[in-house]
Amino acid sequence: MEQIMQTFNERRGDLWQALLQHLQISTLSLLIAMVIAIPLAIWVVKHQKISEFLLQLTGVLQTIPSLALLGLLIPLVGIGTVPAVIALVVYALLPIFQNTYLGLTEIDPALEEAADAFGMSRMKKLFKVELPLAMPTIISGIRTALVLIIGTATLAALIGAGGLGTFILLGIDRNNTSLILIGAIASGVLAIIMSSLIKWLENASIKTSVSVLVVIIALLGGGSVYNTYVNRTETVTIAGKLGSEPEILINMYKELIEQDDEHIKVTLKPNFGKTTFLYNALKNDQIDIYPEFSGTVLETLTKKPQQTSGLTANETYKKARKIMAQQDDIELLRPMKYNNSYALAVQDKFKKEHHLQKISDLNNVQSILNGGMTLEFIDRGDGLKGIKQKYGLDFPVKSMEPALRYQAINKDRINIVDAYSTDSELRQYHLSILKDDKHMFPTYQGAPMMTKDFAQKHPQVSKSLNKLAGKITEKEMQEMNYEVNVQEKAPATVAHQYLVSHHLLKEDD
Amino acid sequence: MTNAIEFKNVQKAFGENTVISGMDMNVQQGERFVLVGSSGSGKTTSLKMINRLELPTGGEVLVNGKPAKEYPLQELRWMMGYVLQQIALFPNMTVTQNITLIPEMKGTPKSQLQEMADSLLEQVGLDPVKYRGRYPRELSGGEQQRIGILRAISSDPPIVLMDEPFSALDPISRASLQDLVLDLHQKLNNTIVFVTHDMDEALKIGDRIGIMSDGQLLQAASPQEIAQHPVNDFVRDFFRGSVSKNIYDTPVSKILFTDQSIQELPNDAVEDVATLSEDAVLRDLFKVLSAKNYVEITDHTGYKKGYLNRQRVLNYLSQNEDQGE
Repeated sequence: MEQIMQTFNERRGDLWQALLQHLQISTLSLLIAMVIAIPLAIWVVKHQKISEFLLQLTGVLQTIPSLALLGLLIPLVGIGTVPAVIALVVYALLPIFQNTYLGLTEIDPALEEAADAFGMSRMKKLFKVELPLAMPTIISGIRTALVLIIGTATLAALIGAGGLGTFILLGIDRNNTSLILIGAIASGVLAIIMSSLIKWLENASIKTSVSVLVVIIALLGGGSVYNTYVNRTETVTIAGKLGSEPEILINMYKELIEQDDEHIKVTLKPNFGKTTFLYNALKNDQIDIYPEFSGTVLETLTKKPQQTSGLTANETYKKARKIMAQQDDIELLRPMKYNNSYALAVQDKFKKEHHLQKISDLNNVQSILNGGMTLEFIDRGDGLKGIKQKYGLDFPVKSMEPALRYQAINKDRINIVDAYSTDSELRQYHLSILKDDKHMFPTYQGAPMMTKDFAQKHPQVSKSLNKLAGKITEKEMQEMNYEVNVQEKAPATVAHQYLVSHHLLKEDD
Repeated sequence: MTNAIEFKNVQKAFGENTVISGMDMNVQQGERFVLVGSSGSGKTTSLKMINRLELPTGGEVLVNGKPAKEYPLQELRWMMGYVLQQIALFPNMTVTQNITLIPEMKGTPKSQLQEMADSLLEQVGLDPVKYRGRYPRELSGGEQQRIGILRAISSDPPIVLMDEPFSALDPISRASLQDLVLDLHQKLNNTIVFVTHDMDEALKIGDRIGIMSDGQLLQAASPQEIAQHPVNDFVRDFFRGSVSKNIYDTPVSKILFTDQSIQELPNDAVEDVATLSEDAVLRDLFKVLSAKNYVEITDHTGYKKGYLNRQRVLNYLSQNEDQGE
């Protein structure tokens, strides 16, 4: 029992949504079935042969197993709400048709005769006498149909129509009895409530019945509209590349978005893959947002190779944003402050000792420089080659594995390394970055990326994410990476701490 | 004056089964015409051919001189009130809604309907405040049929058709509803066609009585005419044989009609006369005759119809003893 309550509390939001979905599918099916079956029954009351045929036909339809019916519908109308509603309508036809027919044929012939003798027209007789008299029977048919529908609608989850069946299926899948019970009980309670509601309507006047019906339709219809525009419990998926830094960032995104819009639920997919994979996932709407770097955009994602060297950070961002918009209708929001670029780093004490601030300063100590760098960096045009050319430097460099070069400099075997400017090792091994005063390295500023379509539909999300624009220095990013990589703190915790200490969360948090 | 209703060689068959074979009949304007006969005699079918609930398979039914089939159906039916044996008040409607059904359909403003229903309820002795909002199931059988009658006359139709309206009621309700029909007829002066299998009821209601048997109208005439000059033995036996289940309930009028009455009193009897309405039954007559030698029988209006004494009553009883139950 305790377990059920716990599961219930955890899943209250989901349950509410499933319940609403269930109710929508059921009510829609019931209404459609009524619209078909009641007029049909009224029409065939005077045609006995047809009515017998229809009674048998609806009877046969009802004997088709619901699973089979759903399966049969998939090739015809696909999956989702449509086949579910069709199947439920098929099941609801018999009880409604049968009871309407019975209700009408069982009316005392004397009353029919009286109605005729008083000069009532066919329509007048139908609405003033026949339907009101048959109403109890018709209503009981509708109730039977409703209970049937609400029960069968749990199967809708099998074909992706949602509803309370999702709980039951999930419960079976995970061998979680609490989930199954919650789904089953909710479905039962729903059936009882709706059935009583209809029972109550039976004794109410026609006016009340019609108004309640209208209100229910309005609520459900309005419910879905409301759901879509205001109360949307929408899932936004945010992914990140491999590593601690993207994971910290997407945790910040999640908190900022959910804080500002309680109807959005953010799902995180950290360590989702590499640049191109993420970019394709974004274009295909498999994910909604991921943090990307302005430099990477120009370097990897553009169709034509772009000149990146010599651009300021702002120029790089503007260019990247423009190209993304033109090329793929992608929106790159405003970037954060830090530049996660290639950099040259030296030990703090070495920097102090030789009064080094910027890469140009290296010219003074060129003779004592002894480098250890990644092969990639050594080989790149915007790497070591560019440095040597642009700054007129020349010093011996050994190629090293990324992790090894930090250990090497830590043990004073070398005195200069390449680095990413936010690497946690900089903090760990007390290394300092030299300023790229000639803008040799392209700028890699992180910014949230999403499709333009998503951005237009979710202005609030962009607004939330823009709170990070111009925030987070390289030092701060290094620190956070350090906390995750070295101190093994959870990325979510680190992200939260940053947001709190920079007053980006609402005060009451 | 045109007949309100006229049957010209009307025939009706249901498949092979002939129900009415060549029936001629006249009902005059303002008349109370009673069709009486045993069940299966065709009297109800005849009635239903007047408002086209049944269509004749031969011959012609005329209403106010015009063939019934030439009227638009609704117009024809709105000319005729209809009262059913099963009463058939609409159970989903209140008393008011039942009564004002036809005026409402005819387009009487809603604001006038309640007033109309109230005044009708008062006419049949039902308190409007108490009854107007009730549903049929909340009424006794007698009350229900009062509403049934009001429903039929609410739009003041020139003709009212009544199909064994009181046969399902207890004797007391029946008697008082019969009085009601006579009362209302006097006020409204409409034409009534009344179907019954009860000769006593026919005698009480009818200005003229049509006796039916096997789909034929044997004789249509005033009660007195039928009593005194029956066209055949069947009519005579039917008239005589229709003794009330309880001999005490035999209407006094019936003794008068069978030529038992004394028209002139002997001179010495003037002081020895009581008065009784023709609606009274034998029970009342016995009581009166135990005190006085002669009884003056009057009709509704107090008009003298004749005298009876003990000898005449005993004579009537002795002639009818074999039919007593």
